[in-house]
Formats: sequence, C-alpha cells, structure tokens
Amino acid sequence: MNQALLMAERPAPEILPGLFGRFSRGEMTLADVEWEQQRFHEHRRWNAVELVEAVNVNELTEADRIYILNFARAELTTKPGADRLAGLCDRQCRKWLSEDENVAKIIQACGTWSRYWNEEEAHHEAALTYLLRRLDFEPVTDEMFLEYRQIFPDDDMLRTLFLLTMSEVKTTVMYTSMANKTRDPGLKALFRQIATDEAHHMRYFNTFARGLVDSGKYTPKGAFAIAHFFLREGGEMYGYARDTKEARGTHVNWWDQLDFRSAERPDDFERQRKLTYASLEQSTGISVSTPQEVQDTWLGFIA
Amino acid sequence: MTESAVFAPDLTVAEIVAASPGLVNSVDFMECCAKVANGFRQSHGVQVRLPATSLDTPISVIVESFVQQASSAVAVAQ
Repeated sequence: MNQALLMAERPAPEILPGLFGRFSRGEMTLADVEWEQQRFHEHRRWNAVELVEAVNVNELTEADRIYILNFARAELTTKPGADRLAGLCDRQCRKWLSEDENVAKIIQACGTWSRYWNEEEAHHEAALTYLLRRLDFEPVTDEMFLEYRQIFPDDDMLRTLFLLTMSEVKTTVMYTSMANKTRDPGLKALFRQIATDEAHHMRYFNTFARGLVDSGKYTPKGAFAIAHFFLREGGEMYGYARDTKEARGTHVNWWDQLDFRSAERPDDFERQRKLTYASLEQSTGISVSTPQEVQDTWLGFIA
Repeated sequence: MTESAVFAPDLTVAEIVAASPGLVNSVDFMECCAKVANGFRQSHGVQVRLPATSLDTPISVIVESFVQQASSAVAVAQ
C-alpha cells in the first residue's frame, strides 16, 4: 500500500467514545488510546503568539478589556486543576488495579490525557495574560497568581470529572458569548478558538465519566450530585452573581471571582443548562431537561 | 459524629465537613440533606426544597428551614 493511500484511509481524529467497551473487549491498549489522544491534540493545535498579535489592542472597547481581565485571571486556575487531576488519576488507577483492571485503564487514560489538557489550557492562560499586559489595564499581580494556583482538594473520581465538565460548560458558553459580543476580529478569533478547545475538553471529561459509569463500578449519582450542586437555586452555576461568595481558603473557584462591571454579562445561563443536560446524557446515558428532573434523578439514587 | 457534637455547638457546614470522617466536601453534606428530604417524602408525603447553603451556614438554620417547610406542607395538607 502506498503512503498516499495509507494517509487517505487514516480516520479523522476523534474523542474516542466507548472506552470501557474498547478496553473490556480487548480492542484497544492504553498505547492505542494515547496515540488517538495525540492525534486529536495535534489536529487542533494553534499558535497563541499569532492569534494574540492579530488583536488590535488600540481598538478594544472597555467591555473587551473587562472580558480579557476576567478570563486572564480565571485561566490561572486550570493548571492546578490539571495538576490535581494527574495526581488523583494516578492514585485512583493504583487503587483500582487490584479490583478492576478496566476501570484502572480508563482512569489511566484520563491521567495521560491530562497533559494535553494542561498544555491546551496553558495556551489560553498565556495568551490572555500577555494580552492583558499589552492593554495597560489592571494587571494579574503575583499575589493573585499565587492565590489562584492553589491545588484543588481531592474528591470521588466521577464527581471530579463532572465538576470539570461543569467548568468547561461554563467556559464554552462564556467564550462563545464574548466572541459574539466583541467587534475586534482578532479578539473574536481568539475567543472562538478557546471556546472550541473548552468544548473539546468537556467532551473528553464526559467520555471518561461514561467509561466509569459503563463499568458498573460507579453509579450516575456522582454526576447528578454535581449537576444539582450547580443547577439548584443559588448554586455554583450562578457563581459571582450570587449574593454571597464562599470563603474557601483552600482553592479558588474562578466562577466566583468574575466581575463584569459595565460590560454585558456573557453568562447565557439557559445555554449552560442545556449543555449540562447534554453532558449528563453523554456521561450517564440518562436524559433530563430541567433542574427539577436533575434533582429528582439524583434523589432517586440516594437511599 | 454524635448529635450533640453537631448541634450543641451549632456547627457550620464547613465545620461539619471538616470534623466528619465520612464527608469529603459540601457535596456530601448536600447528600445528607437529600436523605432527610427523601425521608420526609417517603414517611409523610411532604416535599422539602433542598436549601443552597453557604459554607458558613450554622446547622440550626438548615434544620429550621426543613422544619418550616415541613410544617407549611402539613398545614396545607390539613
């Protein structure tokens, strides 16, 4: 077979669904899955320097500057998020090895992928903090940088994955909304590129969560608990818009720290809710369409 | 944790989570509240709305919320 034909037959990179089945039926090894992650990572790579330089900083509006400020800060929390995920996956993988090899493999695949997530989020953080410095606006101080780098505490594996899904739901919606609001073509392109990355990350987390649920070792309860934690009245989804902010002392939840001042809010909560329902279905196979259904489903899993 | 250890000093959500060997974080505390709500529904047919409470909320406030909701539901039923 010649090289051109080989390349033509190569399937398009994708976020692999059905991880539990692929491992349990012996269809794929961890090395196979790693290669698919690498292919997907490479096909979506972009150049942060080029995109940032395409932004006309002299033409940005006050709202644009506020958006950049907020998300330059928010992106600082993704590195501790990814570092935490890598550590949690290693500990959980070792724990499951003696109980269920396929669960251990799914968690290892997630830990392996966390390096791509970390690198892709580094693009977002570096691009936005650099852009902020070009604006002669409020800086990200070293004090803030250090505060936002605090590592998140550990939790149950499925709950952790769905919490990260929820973070990606929020960023997907907000970057898309900000891309639609800005008039600068360069900033629009940057926000759109980041929104696409965040949507891919959301799908990855859903895929790993689905692997755990398909294994039968995790019930969907953990995913629904987190969804309810966000969707309930006064829940995490409404973050900074709530009357009171949590003083955690251990870590920073970026959605609590946003401050849009005079800029139009890019929340689009209805879109966030719809993406949450879609993520629940991808992660658990259970279809819901209202916060009440999320709560009722979750309560049904609680004895 | 014993009842007296939680209710006598009127611990906050954060303090209960920190002191309890069985709770990892406030999601577990939320699940404890859900068990109480499920119990109300199964034993008395009363629907109780789960409160979204901040970490510094004392347990007495949460209990009062449940009692008020349950009392109102019973009063309506009568």
